[in-house]
Amino acid sequence: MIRPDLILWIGLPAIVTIALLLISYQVQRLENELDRLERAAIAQQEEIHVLNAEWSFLNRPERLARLAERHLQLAPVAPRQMISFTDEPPFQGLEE
Amino acid sequence: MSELSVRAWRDAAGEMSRNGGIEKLSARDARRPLETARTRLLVAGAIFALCFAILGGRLVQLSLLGDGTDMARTAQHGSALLTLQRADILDRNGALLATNLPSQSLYVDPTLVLDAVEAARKIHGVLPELSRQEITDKASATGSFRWIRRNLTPEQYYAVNRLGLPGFGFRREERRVYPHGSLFVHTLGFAGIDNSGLAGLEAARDSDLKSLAASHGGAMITSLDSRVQHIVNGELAAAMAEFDAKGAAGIVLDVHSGEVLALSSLPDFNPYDLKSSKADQRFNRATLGVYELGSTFKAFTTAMALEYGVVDLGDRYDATEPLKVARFVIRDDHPQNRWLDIPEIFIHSSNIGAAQMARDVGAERQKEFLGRLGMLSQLPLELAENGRPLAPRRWREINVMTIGYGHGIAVTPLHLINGFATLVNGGIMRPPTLLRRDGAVAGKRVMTRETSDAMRALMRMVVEDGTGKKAEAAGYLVGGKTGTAEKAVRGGYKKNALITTFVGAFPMDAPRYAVLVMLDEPHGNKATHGFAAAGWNAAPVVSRIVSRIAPMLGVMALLPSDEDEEDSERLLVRADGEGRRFASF
Repeated sequence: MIRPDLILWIGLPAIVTIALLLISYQVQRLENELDRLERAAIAQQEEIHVLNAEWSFLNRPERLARLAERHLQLAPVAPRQMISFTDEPPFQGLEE
Repeated sequence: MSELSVRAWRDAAGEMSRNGGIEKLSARDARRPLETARTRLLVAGAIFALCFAILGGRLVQLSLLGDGTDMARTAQHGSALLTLQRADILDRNGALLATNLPSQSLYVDPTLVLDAVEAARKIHGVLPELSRQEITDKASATGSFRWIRRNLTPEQYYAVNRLGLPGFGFRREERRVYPHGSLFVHTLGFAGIDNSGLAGLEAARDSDLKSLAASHGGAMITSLDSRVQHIVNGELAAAMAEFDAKGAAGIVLDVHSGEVLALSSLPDFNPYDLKSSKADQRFNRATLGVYELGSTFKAFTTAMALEYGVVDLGDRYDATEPLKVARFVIRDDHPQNRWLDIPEIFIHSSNIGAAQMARDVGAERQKEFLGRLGMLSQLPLELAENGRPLAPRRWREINVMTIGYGHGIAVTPLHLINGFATLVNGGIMRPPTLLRRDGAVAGKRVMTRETSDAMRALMRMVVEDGTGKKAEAAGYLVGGKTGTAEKAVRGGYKKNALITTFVGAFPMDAPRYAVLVMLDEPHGNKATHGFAAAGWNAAPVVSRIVSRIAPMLGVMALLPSDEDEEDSERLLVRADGEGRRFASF
């Protein structure tokens, strides 16, 4: 005769074991995923790092000056072109 | 489990008692195995219970208390950050000046190489700069590790990898990269192939850069400004070519914080190609070289005399004829042959007047004053190359007098500009730095605000009416002092080998930046009518530098039409910039 509590005591460990197995596999999968993502993140950071260096290399003042001279019709700012807000005469357009 | 076995035992016992006919067993005999079984059961049960208790305890420990190695491993995942061996170096505006880039290095394990000659032939095919013999030697050497080539380019890495040679492998390394090339080579210095700093800031702050990188602490922010550095470098190079000079140095310094915005020493060198650089190129003229900087020192003499109350601006000295001291004769380069007052001595750069002023101040006070200005000791700049000034061991009267006009004492250009920053910023000495400073910087007061104000007026006069006229940059009120000195050589001075300097600050009504230009052995040309003095070659460079950097640094120009006052009257204004008050002498 199989008593119901026997079923319980055999069934429960079995369920727990299977659940544990499944969770363990899931954790392993997630760990692998995490590792992959972390490697990808570091690779991205490295790429950003390299691009930063390249950006700085392309922004050398010497190169910018050369390019500006070739492509822009601009001259360096002359002292006369600069004025501070405090030196500006008060705006009078709205006075009646 | 335990219940199951109990029942089995009971059944067995019952069977035994039923089969009494074959083998007679007394009730006592039948009960004995039962008792034994029960005892064993109890012991087994206890052991199992103990095991489960341990497992349960471990479970609680892992899940609730959260220590143990597994938890530690999981916690590690939190920070997936790129870790490099050296931190980046940035300029004051965030532009990248130095960084580490990953690269692959090729090595060989000779024990695994099948055919050294064949391998050498193939590698020579993709890395032609390596000789076949060299690779063969390394691939057949004893031991199990030899570098073939460090820091391959990505294409070279791909090409060698595609050969698929056994015994040849790659190791990931990092290479220090300077995107600006040689622009900052005398300030940043450089790092070696194993990523340790060997010169400049890289060497002086080596451990800081390494620990910053290890702790993900971000980059090292310097006080340098790449735009200003580019301008200073370019103008110095142009001046070197124009005046056929051997070398040049230039510094731009914030007078209120001691931050170095640009520091340049020419000729310079390529940080990636040390082998072909000469010692002269690696020598930092701005911070390591000590020079007798001549007349520029008259500014310190004048400030000292005013500060100690030895003279007033109206006092006069006799400069009618050369001054004889012991067996020496002190002459003027621009002789006026008359009595000169203090501003005239300064403007016409009279050696005779400055020497007498220094003599009146005296050795003790001169030494103390120059010491407080930092002229007698090494400066604490964050560089491996910091020159130590040369000063006489015993200050006799003749030393006092020659030092009064800048001979007999040798300092670095950095010492000089830092002293001038103190003269014009209200009299507060701050040590120069290569690192960005945020907020106010405490300093030591060396002279009174009044002395500093007088010095600003005198320096402005030099540019308006004196030896430094060519340093004027329209609108920016440049002021400063020229200095032309013959180079000291063993046992005397070398004729026609000059060190010319212009050091000054702008704008003189409320100084913000000090600028120094020094040329090493410049020569006269047609445009300068053959003259090689500082007013002809160093001063115009300062003018060009100031007019280019001032708009960038947000310094407002003060053009003649802006004010009613005469140019010459815009001399003296309070250093805090509030309410321009003018005074003239």
